[in-house]
Amino acid sequence: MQPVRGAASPNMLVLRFALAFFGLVLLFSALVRVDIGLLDGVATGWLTNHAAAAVAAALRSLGLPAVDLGNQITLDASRFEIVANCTGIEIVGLFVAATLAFPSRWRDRFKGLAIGVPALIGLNLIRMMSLIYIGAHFARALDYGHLYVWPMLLLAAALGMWLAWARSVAGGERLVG
Amino acid sequence: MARRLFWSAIFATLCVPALAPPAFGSFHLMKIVEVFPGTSGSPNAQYVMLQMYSAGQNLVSGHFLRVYNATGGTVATFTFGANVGNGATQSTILIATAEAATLFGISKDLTMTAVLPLAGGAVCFDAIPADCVSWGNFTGDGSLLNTAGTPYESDYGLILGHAIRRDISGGTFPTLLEASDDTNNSAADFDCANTAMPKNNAGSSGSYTDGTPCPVCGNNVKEVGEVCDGTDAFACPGLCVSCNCTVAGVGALKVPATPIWGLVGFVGLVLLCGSVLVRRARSS
Repeated sequence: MQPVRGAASPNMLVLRFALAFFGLVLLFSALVRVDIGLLDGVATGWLTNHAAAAVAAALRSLGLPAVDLGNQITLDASRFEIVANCTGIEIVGLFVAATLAFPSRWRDRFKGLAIGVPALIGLNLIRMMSLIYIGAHFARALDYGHLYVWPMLLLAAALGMWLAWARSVAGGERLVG
Repeated sequence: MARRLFWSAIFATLCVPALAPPAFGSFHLMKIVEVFPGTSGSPNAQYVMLQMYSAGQNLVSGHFLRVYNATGGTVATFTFGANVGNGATQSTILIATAEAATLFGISKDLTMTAVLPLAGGAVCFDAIPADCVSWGNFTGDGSLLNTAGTPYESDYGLILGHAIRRDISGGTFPTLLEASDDTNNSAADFDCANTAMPKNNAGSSGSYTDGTPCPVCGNNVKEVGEVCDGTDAFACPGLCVSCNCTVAGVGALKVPATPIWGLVGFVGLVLLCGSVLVRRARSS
């Protein structure tokens, strides 16, 4: 594979990367807010309903009596509502923004997204399953799990995957710009 | 002479009752002033305390305290088998479990069992009019001996380690129980007390202070008994109302959002690491 080298200085490249990253994060946040505020959550509603169905199906496959109705899941005596943030939309959005903003070839970017996004969605599915089980059976531990343990794990996983990808791109001298 | 006798009879009939102490030797000028659901270490140490607001209300034999569940069904009725000895105004009557008597080190005037429902319920004493207090998710006001109005702390009910106590600061005498301290509205009449202070009819008292303070809904701090509070968006993103989540159904919880510190940290680390990688690649 032929390395692609650009003429921009490192400082300029870093500045472009930072601006593109912030720009994409802002664009992504704006899209979500437009969907929730103006379109009555058409996209996020679809996402939460499907996330709830997937989590309930996964719990049922483990023999747990989970029932989903719209964006709600009932497990034993507890009911949970899956909201947009629960679907991992924030962390996936940040990962996508960081990957697209990094000065690399489009082929590398798509490769990073093709591996990273499904991995994060899968990990978030496990997160929701575990939190619902903990909430239904060990409610007192729910705060600890959802405020500290899982956010750390999910963020660390997203950051670790992005770093591994970015290192492979930068190390292979495939930076563009 | 006959005329004098006639007017004496009229005076005796109309005025003497008016000059007598009100309801002397009775049981009904009495209010429920404190309810304690036990502690986390002694969940069966429960009590209900009554207080007289007039003298001579110690003739309680045959009268009862009734406990109701969240829908207004009777859970238990505890009936006095005898009068209590002290009928001085402001004196109290303690209806408590054996565990409460042990915890507070005082004797009880009537034994109850540990049946107070924490999430929602009510108790009534059959005074005239009956006095009732309800709490939590109680919905059976029509089943009570008298209305209790809006339940005390409809979101989280009774909290272990904390008593609910009648606020007697209103009326003419801010330190004495008066009839006007009861507005038949539990939410307005009762407050959470950090220290439970039962006192029996003989005047012996005990106390228990829990390690956690009473929750204050709306102070943006998630405290004991609260699912969320104000801007505590982690527990109920955007939907924390009255310190509970607004999802329908009992015990509803929300799967939380990613906390802001995590998002800011992620953005910072991506920028830092990305910059280092770009510089390193360009300088090599």
